[in-house]
Amino acid sequence: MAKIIVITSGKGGVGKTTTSAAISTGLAKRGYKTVVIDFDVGLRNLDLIMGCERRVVYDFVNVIKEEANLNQALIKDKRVDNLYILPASQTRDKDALDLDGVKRVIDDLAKDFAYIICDSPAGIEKGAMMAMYFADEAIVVTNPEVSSVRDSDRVLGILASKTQRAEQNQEPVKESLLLTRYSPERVEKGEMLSVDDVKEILAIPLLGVIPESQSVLNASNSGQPVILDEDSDAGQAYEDAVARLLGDDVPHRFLEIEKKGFFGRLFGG
Amino acid sequence: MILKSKKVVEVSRAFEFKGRMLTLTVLNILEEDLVELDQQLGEKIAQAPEFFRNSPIVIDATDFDDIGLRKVADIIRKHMMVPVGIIGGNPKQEESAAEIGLGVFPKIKAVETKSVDKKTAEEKPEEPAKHESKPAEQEQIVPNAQISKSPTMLIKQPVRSGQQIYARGCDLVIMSSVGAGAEVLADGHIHIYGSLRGRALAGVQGDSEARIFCHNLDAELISIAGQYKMSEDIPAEVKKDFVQIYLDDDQMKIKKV
Repeated sequence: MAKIIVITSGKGGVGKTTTSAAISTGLAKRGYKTVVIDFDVGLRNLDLIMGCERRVVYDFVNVIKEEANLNQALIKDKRVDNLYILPASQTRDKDALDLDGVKRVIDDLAKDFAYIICDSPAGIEKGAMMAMYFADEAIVVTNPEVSSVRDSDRVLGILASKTQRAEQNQEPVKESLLLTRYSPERVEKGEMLSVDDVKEILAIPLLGVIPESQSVLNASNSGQPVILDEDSDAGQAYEDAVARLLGDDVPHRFLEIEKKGFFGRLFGG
Repeated sequence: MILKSKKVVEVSRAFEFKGRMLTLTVLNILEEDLVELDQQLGEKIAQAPEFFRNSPIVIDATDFDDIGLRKVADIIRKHMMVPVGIIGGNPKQEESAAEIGLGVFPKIKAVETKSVDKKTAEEKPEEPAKHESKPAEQEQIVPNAQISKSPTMLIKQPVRSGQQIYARGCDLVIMSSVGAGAEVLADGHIHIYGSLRGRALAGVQGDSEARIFCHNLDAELISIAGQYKMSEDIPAEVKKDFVQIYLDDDQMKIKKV
C-alpha cells in the first residue's frame, strides 16, 4: 500500500516545496519508490526546485483531463533512482482539479509507488483541499512566527474534519510538525518563537527542525534538493526528518546556538 | 466533525437530522415605516451588495405589530435577500409567517456582543439618527430543539483556529487547548484544561451563574451571559494563570484558582 503524505502549511513561503523536494528525494535515496506531485496549479515551482523545469511536457492537469497518460507526464529524476515528479500545469488554475480526477491519478500511482508526496499550495482553498483530501499523513510546515503558527493551527483543524479519513470516520490523518527557517540565535534574542513554544501551541509530534540556512537558497537556485547537499546543516536536518518519518528515533539537532561561549552556557539553559 | 453523532453502520439511512449552529443575519425593525425601511435597507446593502446577496434573513418581530409581515418579506426579497423565518413574534404574526412560508424560530436570548454595559444597550435612544447604523445584527440562532438536559460535552482534541464548538444545554470540558481564532461556547460552564488563546463564551443563553475555568488564560475574548472582556481588558496579573471567571453582581471577575 502506498503511503500518501501531504506537505501543507496554510501560509505561503514557509518551505512547503523545499520540504516536498527534500523529503521525496530522501525517501527515494533510501530505496523507496517515490513520486512527488505539485498541486500548485498555475504557480508551478516544484519542477524548478527539483531542477527538471526543462523536461516538463505533460502535467498533472493533462493526466486528470485524460489528455496524457501518467507515464507521459511523470518525470524521472536524473540524480536519484526511484524518484519521479508529476509537475503542475502553469497555464491552468486550481479549478482544473477535481476530486474524482485526483483520486484516479493517486489510485493509479498507488499501484506502483511506495510513497506519494503531495506538495500543497498555500491557502485553504481548492488546491490545498485537493492536496490533503486523500492523505494518510500530513507534514505541517511551520515557521517560528505567530502568523505561520496560527495558519498551521487552522490547517490542522481542516485536516481533522475535511479529509477523506475524517469524512469516512477512519483513523485520523497522522500529523507531524516540521519547523523550518529556525534560528537559535534569534530565538535567544526573543525575536522568534522557540521549538517548545510552537510545540505547545500546535500540540502535535515534532518531525524535525530545519535551521535557517544559506544552503536552502543555494539549493533552490541550482535546482538541487537541499537534502543532496550532505555537508549542509539543512540537508542533514532533512535527512534526520526522513529517518524519523520512517520510524527511526533520531535526536533533534541544530536547536542550540553553535559554539556557545561562557555566558551562553551560563544563561542559555 | 466533532459534533457529528456516532454513525450506525448496519442500516443505510436515506437521511439524518443534524443540529447545526449557524450564524444568521437578523433584521431588527426599529421603526414601523416601510418606506424608510426600504430606503435605508437599500443604502445599507449598496455598501456591500455581495455580502448581502442571497443571504438568509430572520425577521425579528419583537418590536413591531402593525406593519404586515408579508410586506417586510417583500422588501427583503426586493433587495435580493431571502427571508427564512421570524423570531420573537406574537401568535398572530407566527400564524401569518406560516401562511407566507416563513419558519418560526423559538425565542432565545441572543449572545450580546455589542456592549459591556447592558443598561446603555437597553436604553435605546429614540432619535432616528441612531437607526442607520445597523439594520442587521448578527445573532446566534440555534435551529434545533432538543433542550433536554444533555451530559457534559467532552472535547479531547485541541480546538483549532477557525473551529467553533457549542455545548448546547450543557457544560463543556476541553481537555486540550483552544487556539487563537477558535471559539468555544456553552450554555453552562466551560472548563479548559489547556491554554485558552481564542474565545470562550459561557452561559450564552443568559445563565449568569455560568463560569469559565481555564488553566492558562491568554484569551482573545471571554464572556459570561453576554458580559464580555476583550484581551486588552484582562488584567496582566491574571494572564497566563489558572483562573476562574464568573459574574458577581453583573461584574465580571477573574480570580486565580
